[in-house]
Amino acid sequence: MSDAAPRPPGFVSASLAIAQKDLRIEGRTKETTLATVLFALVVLVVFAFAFGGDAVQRAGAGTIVPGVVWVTLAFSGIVGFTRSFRLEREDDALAAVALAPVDRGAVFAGKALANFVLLTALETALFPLTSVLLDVPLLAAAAPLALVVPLHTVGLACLGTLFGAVVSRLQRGEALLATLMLPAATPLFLSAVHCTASAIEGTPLAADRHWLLLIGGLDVLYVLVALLLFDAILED
Amino acid sequence: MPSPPSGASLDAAPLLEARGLTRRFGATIALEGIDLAVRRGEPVALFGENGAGKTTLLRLLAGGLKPTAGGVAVEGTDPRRAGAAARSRIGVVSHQTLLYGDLTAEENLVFFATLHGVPSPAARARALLREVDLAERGDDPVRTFSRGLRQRVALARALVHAPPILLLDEPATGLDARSTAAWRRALAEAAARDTTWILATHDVEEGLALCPRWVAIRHGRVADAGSSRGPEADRARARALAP
Repeated sequence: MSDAAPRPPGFVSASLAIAQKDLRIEGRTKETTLATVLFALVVLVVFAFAFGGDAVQRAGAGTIVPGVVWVTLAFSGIVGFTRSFRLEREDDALAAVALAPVDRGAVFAGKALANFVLLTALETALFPLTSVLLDVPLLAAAAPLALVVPLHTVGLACLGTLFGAVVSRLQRGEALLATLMLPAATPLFLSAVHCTASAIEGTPLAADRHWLLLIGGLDVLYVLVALLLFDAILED
Repeated sequence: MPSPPSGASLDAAPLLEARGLTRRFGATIALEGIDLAVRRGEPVALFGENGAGKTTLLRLLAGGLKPTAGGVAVEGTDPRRAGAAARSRIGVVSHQTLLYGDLTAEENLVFFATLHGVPSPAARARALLREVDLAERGDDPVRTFSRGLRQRVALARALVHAPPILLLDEPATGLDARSTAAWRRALAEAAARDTTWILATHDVEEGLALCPRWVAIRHGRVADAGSSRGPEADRARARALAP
């Protein structure tokens, strides 16, 4: 080794290294992308078949589409969150990460960042698919959706990463992820559905400022809780 | 067979110390009242049957498990208080490789070198791959490796930050002769850099050869201890522990 002594990376550098590692693995295996996109496609097809184009037109896109999109995202996300920690536990690599001299909050931040990127990629495919399968034009709402959706995706990625880490320690814990995460995410989904509906209907975002403040606050809360708990989660 | 680090480097203060270390899992007592001091240049072999508490002891020493009672000191510091600083002094090789199967050997080492803040992680990774005789396989995913090759990468991972203490939990189990020889060669090079280790093993002969001291654990307690370099009676007691 060179004469220079190791100097542990800071929070941001460690987070980026962990996110980059997760995304590199995903880029190589494409397991999460394939599983979540396929799952989302199946859910959308079922919804499209159940509602039919006429029902969506009669009820209005703003009534049907937000629920469809966020239910699809919630359950597709769970598939991804499960995979995110399965790769850590497969050969217990997370134990070696936990032994590294980095802030354990950075481990959470890195994994949450990778999950955020993967969810964003899924959303990028999901909205056009929804537009085609439910026969609703969403292009006009692209700009407000580009603000509203990532804001809620931050919260979803944080919760999924936090609960994914918790259940990965349990025998058959993956089955518990939805049971634990979805109730905690209920305020997030209520806000997401409301704000997405507003975006699709062309309501000015200013009218939803209390919802946007709520979700901003929830994002901060989820991050803080995760940073506080993650050290304990990584230890027995 | 590598020699343990030179006795000339022995220091008075323990490099790693356990005091009254106890760990319970619910009603089950995994370890109770373990006292152990490991000095620089004085590796220790841990013997004991499956379930005796060897792995639990190593996890407690590494700081990956919280003791129910008692404490650990790494170079005089409580790793639970010193946190990151104490973790940087320890390397761990376990039954599991603690590697990412979908990353190449070099990517794994670069990743862990980065997390440990090693300067020039890529150069360090390549040097370690040469050390464990895997320079030609550095670009292959670890998933494609045999168990022996994976354990060699695992040892390289544990050495990536040149820790003074290695905790080795049956690292050579299931290795073929070539992998065992490469593994021991790498350990010998670590010893030459003054690395000290605790080796949990079922192979008493290996433990006696690699460590000047041995400690036997039974039902979570220290049942016996001796010297591998001292009287033959000490070695005979250790051999009597072999199944």
